[in-house]
Amino acid sequence: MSKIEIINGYKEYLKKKEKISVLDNINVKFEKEKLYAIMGESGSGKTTLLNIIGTLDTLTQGKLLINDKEIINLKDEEKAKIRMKEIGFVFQNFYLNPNMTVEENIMQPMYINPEYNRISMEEKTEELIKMVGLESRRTHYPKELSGGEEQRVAIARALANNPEIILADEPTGNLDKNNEIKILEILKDLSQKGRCVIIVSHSNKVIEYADKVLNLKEGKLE
Amino acid sequence: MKVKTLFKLAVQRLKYNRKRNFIITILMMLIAIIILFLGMIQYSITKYVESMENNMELRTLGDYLYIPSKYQEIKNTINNIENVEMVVDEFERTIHAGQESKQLQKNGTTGTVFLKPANSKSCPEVIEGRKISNNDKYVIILPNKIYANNQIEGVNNQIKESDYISGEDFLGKELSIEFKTDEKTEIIKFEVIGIYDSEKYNDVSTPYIPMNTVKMINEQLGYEPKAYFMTIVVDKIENLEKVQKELYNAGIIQETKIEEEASEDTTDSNILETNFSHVTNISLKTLNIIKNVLVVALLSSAIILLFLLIITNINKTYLLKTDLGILKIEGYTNKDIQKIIILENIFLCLISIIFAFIGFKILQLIMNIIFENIIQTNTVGITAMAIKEQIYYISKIPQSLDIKFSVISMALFVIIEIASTYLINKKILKKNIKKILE
Amino acid sequence: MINLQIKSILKNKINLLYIILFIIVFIIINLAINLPEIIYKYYDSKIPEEYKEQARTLYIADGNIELTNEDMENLKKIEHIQDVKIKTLGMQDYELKLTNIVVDDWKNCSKIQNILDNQGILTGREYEDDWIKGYEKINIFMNLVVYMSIIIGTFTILISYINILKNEKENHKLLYILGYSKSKIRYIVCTQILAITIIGFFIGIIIFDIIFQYVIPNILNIELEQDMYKSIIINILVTIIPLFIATGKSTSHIKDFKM
Repeated sequence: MSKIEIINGYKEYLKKKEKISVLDNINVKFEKEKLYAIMGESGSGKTTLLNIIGTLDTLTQGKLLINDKEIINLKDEEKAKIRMKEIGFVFQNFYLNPNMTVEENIMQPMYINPEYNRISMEEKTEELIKMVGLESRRTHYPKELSGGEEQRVAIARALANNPEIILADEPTGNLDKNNEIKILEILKDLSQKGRCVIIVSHSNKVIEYADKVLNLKEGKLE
Repeated sequence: MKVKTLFKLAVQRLKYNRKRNFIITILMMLIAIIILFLGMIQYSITKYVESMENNMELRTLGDYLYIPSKYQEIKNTINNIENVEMVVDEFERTIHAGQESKQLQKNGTTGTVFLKPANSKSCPEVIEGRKISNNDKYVIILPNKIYANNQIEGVNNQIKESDYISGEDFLGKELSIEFKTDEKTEIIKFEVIGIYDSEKYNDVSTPYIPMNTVKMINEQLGYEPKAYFMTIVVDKIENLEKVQKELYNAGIIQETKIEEEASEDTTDSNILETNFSHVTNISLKTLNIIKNVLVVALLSSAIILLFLLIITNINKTYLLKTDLGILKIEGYTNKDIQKIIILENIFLCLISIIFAFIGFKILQLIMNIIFENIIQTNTVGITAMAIKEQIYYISKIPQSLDIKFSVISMALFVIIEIASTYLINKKILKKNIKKILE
Repeated sequence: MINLQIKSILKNKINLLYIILFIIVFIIINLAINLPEIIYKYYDSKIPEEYKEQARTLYIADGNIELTNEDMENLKKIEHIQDVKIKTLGMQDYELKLTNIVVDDWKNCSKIQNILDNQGILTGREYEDDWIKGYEKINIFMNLVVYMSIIIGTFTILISYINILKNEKENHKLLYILGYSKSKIRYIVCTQILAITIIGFFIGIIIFDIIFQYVIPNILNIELEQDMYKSIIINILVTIIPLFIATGKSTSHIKDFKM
């Protein structure tokens, strides 16, 4: 059973009465226990594809299925539930809340998960902090961390509700080589442990870790 | 950096964040309008109060009953009191006849005047010509705006600008006045020797002639008084009570209560009363309180909005931190960056000040239209009529902008805006580029 | 969850400035709401004690109007009218009957005069000094000041809310991505804004109370009473209306949720 499936997917924008086609006839399946790399030049539609998979954007035409469930007609509340339970996001610019500590940033998604109570939240946070190796930085604010450390916090946050899908948009774009390797290793490890990891990137290093590489050119998948 | 480049970059930045700049411009415009209104109210009411204080009627104590044989003695005593400008007896205080000048008729007004006596001390300051001296005989001083009618100004008799006659047209010429009693009619010609500012003295209908001339005319008309009253002109309204006390101490009057409105029945000669002119019926005290409350209210509003403007500036700057960082990366020095941003802010200030003046004028127009409508409507009921009267008199208060205040306040406003921008930017630019771009 | 979000917004130093602004705004709004009380008490203190009774008594000016007992009872039902009685003045050759209408307070006299005038009963006031006349005239301006302060206060609060939301835009977008629904985000947004406002409100009210109960009475030598009902309603409206406008139906400060 494929985790994510897009069938005949099209995405168009209207700008001053002109139609701009971003995604053109996308048909793709993403499965568990695999790391996918979506490569392409800037403007090819990589981020748009990721946003659509992450239910942040919608297809103009076509179907998006997550766990065989059609997403397009779902209400906002239901989409939010899917994002909360099924999907974890990692971004190039980390997007941590600058006014919260490392611990608080990681805990933030857990508050809306009814499966957690206060004790289990603290336990899970502890586990995730250990996993990314930031025990000594738990009470620090993002501005006090290095780029690599910030990205590790972002990954820990993405895993807060045990999602089965991880979407990463240029996760190593702001990092040096050493940190890039560290992050990619964490993501590979996650895919090997059963998750579906999709990485959008320019970097050729990602290809070394990917189980499958998809090329996006002018909105079409090759 | 070249000045031309500076200007170009500043204008470029203006186009950048149109939405944010729009909000800031609106805020600045509102603050500027409030400051201008503050200035206008302050200036207008102060000018108006000053004019009321200059008005001779409002600083005249009268009418006091006296015995003719004792007059000279009383007059000497009163003249020795400090702050007394003029004491006039029954023959000198007013001409007991109807007074009309055909030369002062316009648009259906009757040309009716009420000549008043003046001496060299009490004569109003003139803007053209000369004041009355004690040796003058048939001379006259006119207000620069004249409205000569037998009906007094009020909501039921509203005066328009076009109803006024220019007093300056008569300077150096002769003015004929017809004096009419039941028995006689006399026409006397006066030489117009001076013109006084009707706005400054809050008077559009009182010509002044020498007090001796008033006496001569009364004698010519064969005036025989049934009772003898005198009036005393004091130099300032604030000295009325003081002079009142002195008169009481000198035994000239028995009570020291001052009534502020002319009562119709003045038979009680033990109480001196001021003749409150029918120019307005808002008392000075209340006017001052209104002025103070409005000034405080507007000032607090300006402070709140100014504070909001400063915070919005801080907000704007922090949100556009990346802009500053990028400029630094591109090689601009901190000084250059400050110049560009301050120039951008000066442009915003100037735009908002221009719109503030326009907005202010529009608001004034709207206020005048609303006042006109209230004044023109038919009202029923005591309170509605009272409100209508109040609005009529308020609309008469000159609504002018004090240029000095406007220029200084707008300049201060721009300075505060620039200073706050400079200080906020200084704090951000102190950090290294990485921290700025975070 | 809410504690975390409130803590996050208070950590932002700019929001502390907004709290200070709200303190000032609430002080000024509450002073404005109670300005009529201050002015009334000030003017009331200027009326001599011995004339207070007369100051709130009207007499019917038209001698031809004779009120029956029923008329007098009906008049007493009008709000603010305390009593209607007939006063007999012995003059030289005849008795003069004056109908006196006693109002609860001198400040309500002109209102009653207007009501009675509409009913065709012209009245005069037993005692009217310069202070009483001045008070009538000042009312127009008082209302102007009150409305102006409230409008400017509301406008200030609205702009502040919009700015605060703009600052938090990225954090709110993030919540959406993390799986918070729009309604939950809206709830968090409102709570964050209210947290800032309430802190400003409470400090502002305390300072206002000190000014109103101690400073002004000492300067003007008067005793003041706050109109609690009016104050509460206006303070709530001044907060809620900008909140609705700023947050809108959905989370309108975030136009799109894509990162």
